[in-house]
This record gives sequence, C-alpha cells and structure tokens, in this order.
Amino acid sequence: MSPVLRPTFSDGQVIGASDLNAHVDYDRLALGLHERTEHLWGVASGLSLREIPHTMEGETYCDVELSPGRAVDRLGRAIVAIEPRLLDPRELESRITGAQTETDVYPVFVQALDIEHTGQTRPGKCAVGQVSRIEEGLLISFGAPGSEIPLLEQRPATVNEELGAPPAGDKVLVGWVTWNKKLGRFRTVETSVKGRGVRYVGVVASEVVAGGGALGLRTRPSGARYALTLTENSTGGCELRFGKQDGPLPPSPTFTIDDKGNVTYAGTLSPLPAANVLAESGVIFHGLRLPLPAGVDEDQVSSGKVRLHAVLAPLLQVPASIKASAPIPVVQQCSADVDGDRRVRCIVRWYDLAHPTQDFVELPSACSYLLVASGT
Amino acid sequence: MPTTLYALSFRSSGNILGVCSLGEQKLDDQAAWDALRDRLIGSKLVLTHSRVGPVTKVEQPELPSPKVGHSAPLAQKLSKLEPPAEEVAEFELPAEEVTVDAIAGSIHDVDDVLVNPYTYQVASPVATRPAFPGDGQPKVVTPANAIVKSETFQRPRLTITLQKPLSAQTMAVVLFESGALVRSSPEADLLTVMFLCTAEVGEKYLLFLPGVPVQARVLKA
Repeated sequence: MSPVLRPTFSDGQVIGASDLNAHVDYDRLALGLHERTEHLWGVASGLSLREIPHTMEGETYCDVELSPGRAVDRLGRAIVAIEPRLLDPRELESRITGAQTETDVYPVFVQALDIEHTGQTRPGKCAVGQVSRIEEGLLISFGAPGSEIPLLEQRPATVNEELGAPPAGDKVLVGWVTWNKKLGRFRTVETSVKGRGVRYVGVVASEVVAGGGALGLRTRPSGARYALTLTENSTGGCELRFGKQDGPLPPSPTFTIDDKGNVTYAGTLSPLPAANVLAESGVIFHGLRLPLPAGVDEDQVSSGKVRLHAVLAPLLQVPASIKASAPIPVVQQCSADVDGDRRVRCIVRWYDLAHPTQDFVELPSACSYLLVASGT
Repeated sequence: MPTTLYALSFRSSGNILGVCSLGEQKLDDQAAWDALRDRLIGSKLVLTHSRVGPVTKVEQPELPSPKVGHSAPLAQKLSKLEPPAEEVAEFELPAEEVTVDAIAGSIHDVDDVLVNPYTYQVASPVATRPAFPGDGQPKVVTPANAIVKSETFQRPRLTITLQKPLSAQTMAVVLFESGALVRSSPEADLLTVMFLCTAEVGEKYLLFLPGVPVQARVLKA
C-alpha cells in the first residue's frame, strides 16, 4: 500500500486519535514531497553563525550564536529555529579526539529533532501522561574536519526514499568553527572552507514564468547585490540585463541584450570573437567603385562594423591607342579610398622612349584588386 | 567561382565607359541589374579623359627614381620627361544614364578592352539585331572606330560631321564638364548632328555616338 493515504470520514463515525493524526501526517507528507521534488535542500533563511568575541587570559575567543531561520533537509523536512541559539563549546570538545591543529575547521550542522511533550489538558480526560504535542525542534551538532564533504555531495532524495519516516540523521550545514584548545572555547567562525560553503535552497523547474513582464535573479534578497533581470518595456521590446543592484534600483547595465539582439557590455570580451572575413577580387576600370563582397552591405561599412582593406595593382597592358614604338608606363595614381566611396583612380602616363621628345599620353586604366572585409 | 566581364555603357549609344571583371552575379530582374550598377558606380560615373602633354626638360630629375626598378640610364632619360602642370578634365555622368551588361563569349583583345574601354561599345551577339544596352541580355564588345570628320562651334551651335552615315533613330549626346547633357538627332543627311548648347569656346565635352570612341573634345570656334 502506498504511504500516501488521505484520511476520509463518514457520518456517524467515531473519530479516533489515529484518524486525526493521519490528517496531520498527510499534510506533512505532502509538504515533504513538495520540498524534496520541487526544491533543492539547504538553508532557506537565516541560520547563520555569528561570533561574539571575548578575551580571557590575554587570548581571544568567541561564543557562537546561531541566528533564527529555516532550512530544509534532503528529505524535505523543515528545520526551524525561531530564536537565537548559543552553540555549546563542550559539545565540540567532546568530539575532538587525537591531535588537533589550529587550522582545523569543524563543520556545524543542524537537523530536525522531534521533542515530545506530555501533560497538555484535553477535554474529558484527567490523565495527562500521554504525548499531546510534538515540538519540531532543532539539534545542533559538530562534525570532524571534512565530514561535511559527503553531506554536500549527496544526491537529492528520490520520491520514495524513506518516505513518511525521516530519520534524525539528515543534516544541513550552517558553517564552521575553529577551536581554541587552550581555553576550551571557540576561536573563530568560518563561512567557507577550501571553496566549500553553506548550501542554500533552490528550485527545480524547467520553466519559470513571470506574471508581469519582469523576471529577476538576485544574489541576495536585499541591499547591495548582483542581479540578472529580464524586463519587457512599454514599446513591446525586452532587455536582458546583468549588473550590480542596490536595493530596489534597477541593476547597472554592465551587460545587456535587447530584443533585437544588440549586445552591450562595459568590460572586455575574452577571448575576442573570431572575425569574419569576406573577400572580392577582380579587375576594375578607373572611375568605378570597388564592389563590396557578397554578404557585406553599405550600412555595415558606414557604421564601422566591417573594416575594408584593399590591394590594387595597375594593369600595364599597352592600349592599342598608344602609337609608340617603345612605350613605357609610369603609374600616376592607383588607389581607392576604402574609408570613402571606394572609387578607383588609376591613371597611367605613357612615354615613348624611342622618341623621348614627343608628347606623353595620360590615360585612365584598369587595375586588379583584392577587397577584404573583416568584421564580427 | 566563375568570373564575368561586366561593361558599363552609355544607355543611348552603347559606348563603353568602364569595365569590371568580378565573380558571376545572380541577376534575375532589372532591379538586380540596377543594384549591380549602383554597386559599381554609386550615384555617378567618373570619366577622366585622356591627356596629352609636351615633354620638357627639368633641372632636378626625380621621376622615377632607380628605386622602382629602372636602370640608371633609363631613369636619367625619364627624368627629362617631366611635363608642365595641366588641369585634368573630369566628367561626371549620372547613374541613370549608365547601364551594365554582362559580356558573353571570347573577346579578341580582352586586355585592351580592360585598359582602354572608351574605344569599344557593346553590341548584340547577333549582328543583324540592334543592341539595347541594359536589357539584361548578354552582349559582345566591338571596336568603336568611327571617325568624326569635323567639329565646329558657333555659339550656340555645335556641329559634328561624321565620315559614315548614322541611323535615323540614333540619339547623339554631348556631356560638358559642367555636367550639362545635350541630346540631338542626326540631320537629314544622316552625317551631321547639330547641338544647341550654352557652353563657351574652350570648354571640354564628351560625345556619345554609336561607333564613335569616347574621348575628350574641346569646343573650337
């Protein structure tokens, strides 16, 4: 039989304690299943360790306080602290065995703890020895250095794993402490060790939909933080933006993409994107413009998105109209302004070396060209 | 990628004004041909006329220097050929007066067409058919070697006389340095074309006539 049992009642039924408890169990089970399947376990709010510094015999030590908060363990069970709790140094001291160095950091865990309470008054019953309330309490424990690693690396619980009977052993890491052996007190609080940190709750979702045209991811709930936002504007467009955010102000536009695909960024691209290169070559006569390679338009050139590079070489074929027995060309001009209208100017002056006193003839001519367009 | 020779010519006469050899273009309609023309000339075609200058001696020969590969005696010879400064006439023809055609078949002297296109014109591959420059049909290149017998200018009349008669449907055009275009039809003798123009003596102009090479001319009284 499935452990997911929804209690149901009928007229005239005598309702016993098990029926009422089944109702409570059903809701708890539903909440646990939701947490373990649609969320990722970790600290949801608060539950941070705070140093309260002291000095004794010229040495500093601290008391450590766990702030109120809530966490969800791997099985979906809520762990709640509604008031600050001081950590007991004797608890840690009892766990320290063998050689201990000043660099040792001890993970601090919390876990759900059921505490049964008796003696609550119930109508029609004088005896109060039975359990009438279960406090969903919190147990703070310490681990050996490095014992948090397997806990952080464990897989999410499956739906049927220990369903309905969460063990007391499911822990959530809330930080680390170091130990002052001489004083038998805590020395410091650490929030991360060798790149490992406290794990916070997450969401399992293949799709997240905003209700009002704006969606945001933020590194902290408030104050100075970083944000990734997706925001529609009043003109029907949309912008994806990443940047630093202070309070309710919009994030700074460190990186943005608009709905037309335009990307702007304040930093530098690394590595730089490979440039696209297109080329066109041929032969062209004086007065014509170097044609842009296929795939490149004038707007790309004028906006600077594409850079042009041209190589021109004049054709020095003797025109049939040159009536000289020893014609020799002198190139007067062979150029094209690639930053302008790319019009080719190719002028060749022809001399007749056999008759050096005769007039020269200057003719427009053709040149071979290679036009390279590069851009991103 | 196959390459094609494209000729830019004067719309009403077929006189070639520029050539370009480039990768074969996909030109399906008139708009595509016009787009190619605009790619190649923009809003206008710049025509530079051939220039003839006298050779004179100069005191300090510098043109060209031996660094560009000439032997010392040749460089010395060339150094004496520095011409006097002379203004170069340039003509600008609006794009709408220019058409572009693909040149089909082999050309007898393609190198000469490339370096001296003003002495050629586009023609229909079928000799008996007239050519319509810019009609999207392939063309051939033929020499433009008709001789202008005389040019006389008595303001405002510019009279051009040819050796051989023109077709009665011919449209003759002159383009002045100022950019003014003047059109006219042959007279009854089909040998004479008369233009009425406001230009002055000494002004340079280009004559566009089928079969006549394009070259700069000067209005002479």
